[in-house]
Amino acid sequence: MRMLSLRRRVILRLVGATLLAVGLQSAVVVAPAHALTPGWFQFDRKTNTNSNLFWMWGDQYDQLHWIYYRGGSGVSADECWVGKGWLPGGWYDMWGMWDNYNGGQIFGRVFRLSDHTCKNGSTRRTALFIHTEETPSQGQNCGYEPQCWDGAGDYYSAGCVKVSWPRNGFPNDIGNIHWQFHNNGGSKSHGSYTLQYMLYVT
Amino acid sequence: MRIRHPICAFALVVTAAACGHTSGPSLRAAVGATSDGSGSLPDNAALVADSSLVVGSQTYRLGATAGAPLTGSLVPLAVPSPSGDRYLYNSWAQGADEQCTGDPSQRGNCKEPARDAIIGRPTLRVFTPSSGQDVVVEPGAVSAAWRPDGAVAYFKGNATDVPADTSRFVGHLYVRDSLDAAAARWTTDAARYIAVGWAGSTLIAYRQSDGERFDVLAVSGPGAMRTVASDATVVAVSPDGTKVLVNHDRDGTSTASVVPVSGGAPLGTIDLGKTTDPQSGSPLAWITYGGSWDGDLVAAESALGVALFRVSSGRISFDRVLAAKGSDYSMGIHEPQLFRDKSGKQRLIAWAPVSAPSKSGRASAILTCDVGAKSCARNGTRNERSVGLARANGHGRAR
Repeated sequence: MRMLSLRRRVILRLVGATLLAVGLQSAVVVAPAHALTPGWFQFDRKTNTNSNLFWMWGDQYDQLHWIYYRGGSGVSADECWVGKGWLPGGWYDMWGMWDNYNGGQIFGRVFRLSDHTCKNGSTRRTALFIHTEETPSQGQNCGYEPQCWDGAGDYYSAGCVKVSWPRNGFPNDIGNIHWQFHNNGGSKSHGSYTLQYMLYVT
Repeated sequence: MRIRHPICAFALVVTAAACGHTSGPSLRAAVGATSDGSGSLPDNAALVADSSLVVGSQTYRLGATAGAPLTGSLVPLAVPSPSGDRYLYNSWAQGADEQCTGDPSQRGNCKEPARDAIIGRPTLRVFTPSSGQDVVVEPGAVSAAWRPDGAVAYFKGNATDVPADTSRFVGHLYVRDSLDAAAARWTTDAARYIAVGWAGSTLIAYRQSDGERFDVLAVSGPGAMRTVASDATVVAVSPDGTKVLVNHDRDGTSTASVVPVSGGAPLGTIDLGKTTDPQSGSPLAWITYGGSWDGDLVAAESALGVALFRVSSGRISFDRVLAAKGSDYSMGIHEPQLFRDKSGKQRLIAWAPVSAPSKSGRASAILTCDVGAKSCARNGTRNERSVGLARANGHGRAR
């Protein structure tokens, strides 16, 4: 409980910093007509290696709070470029969350996003995640690049949103995001499931 | 293999051929092209844009709307036959998609289809310009490779329709000895494969993994599959079909390697992060898929624009940037294809998005270059959803 309280103070302090950064105080939550989780992600695309990934949640007073992290996506700002462009704009569902994922190139703590048609109305971006570079057991194997957080270059991706692992002076953003999702308005579930409207990309 | 014109023999391994098209249902104006007379292309170049096929100065109406939402420009949107008289192309019938009501930025207003909802049906079709005939080759199929001896390879899903969760659209690679022959399955495990092209009698293909990343495969027959490179893409296959230039991305840069199709260690490697363009003083940073290979020259899209490389005895070296992205083509210059015009002059064609995408598509500039003169010009602008070059992807001789 104390841990939770402390963590909440940390969150509030970080939210304060965020508010200063984005120039906003708070916002009233507009409740959608669907049964949704109180929390969701927002990814504000700025550059491929330095964009903002927000975790946003509404409280019992209908106030909206947020915390944000550095995130990267793609190597190009063309959202319709398969395997190269950053994540297309719009709303995404979440198709699952795993703690020890062991995919072909993606491992550890991962949030699977719905596939998404880009704005040309044709090209479908697929197999997208929010993830970092770590082993399936959430550690580091620096003999294998996809499991080692080397530095700022790791924010580049083929289209996924990537966040940092605590190595080489980078913060434990994947750990914090993971905690926020499970304990602050997301879901405690693991595995394959669908949560609607879990990411908005601007 | 019968070749009607000498120029076609070269075009077989370089780019789309426009040989002998003297009749057929050509349109008076290029559909979707700007009205500045820019609809036509150089001889021996071809592109597909939605329901139009443009071959040199001729524009034809396809029987269906071309499109490959699942592959983009990873592989050709259309592939000419060895004799250049027919075109295999990917078509797409759209099903369910995101539906928005009210303010699309408001949570709850834009609904994604359920994971198992049908978002579309891909179909491989063949179009014959001389007759206007357009027929279905295979429903549920995506990506085609046409071998010089007439054999055709493609990926076909276990189901015909694609669910919203496209990772569930798994199937196999199939090969037909000719377009009309029975299909033989060449893969044993169902996965999301993509046919890239032929290197002699070996089919080069992708197997897609999470995060839009790919393994490069060499498939030499039913059940005979080998991984050429993991987490990589194919820049180009050598004209003789013995080598493939594969690219591996890492931390915003890439490394490209010339790899023997028969197996073995890379013959040559270039680190694009450490390769600087002397004109701009900037590193090339990376190259990517959709390039071409003519003689000892390779054209590839890089972070700076279209870059040329020399490959000699497997060793690869940077030559120059032929077409710089600059501010005009900041979103990239895709599918740079080397080809020879009727006079034998080496040329290049590519396309570049020049506007932000919208629901009706986007504007894409068509660039053509005179390689020897080191000059490029904007040939015209297309305004469709799906634009892609028709490019031959059969290299070398089948054994």
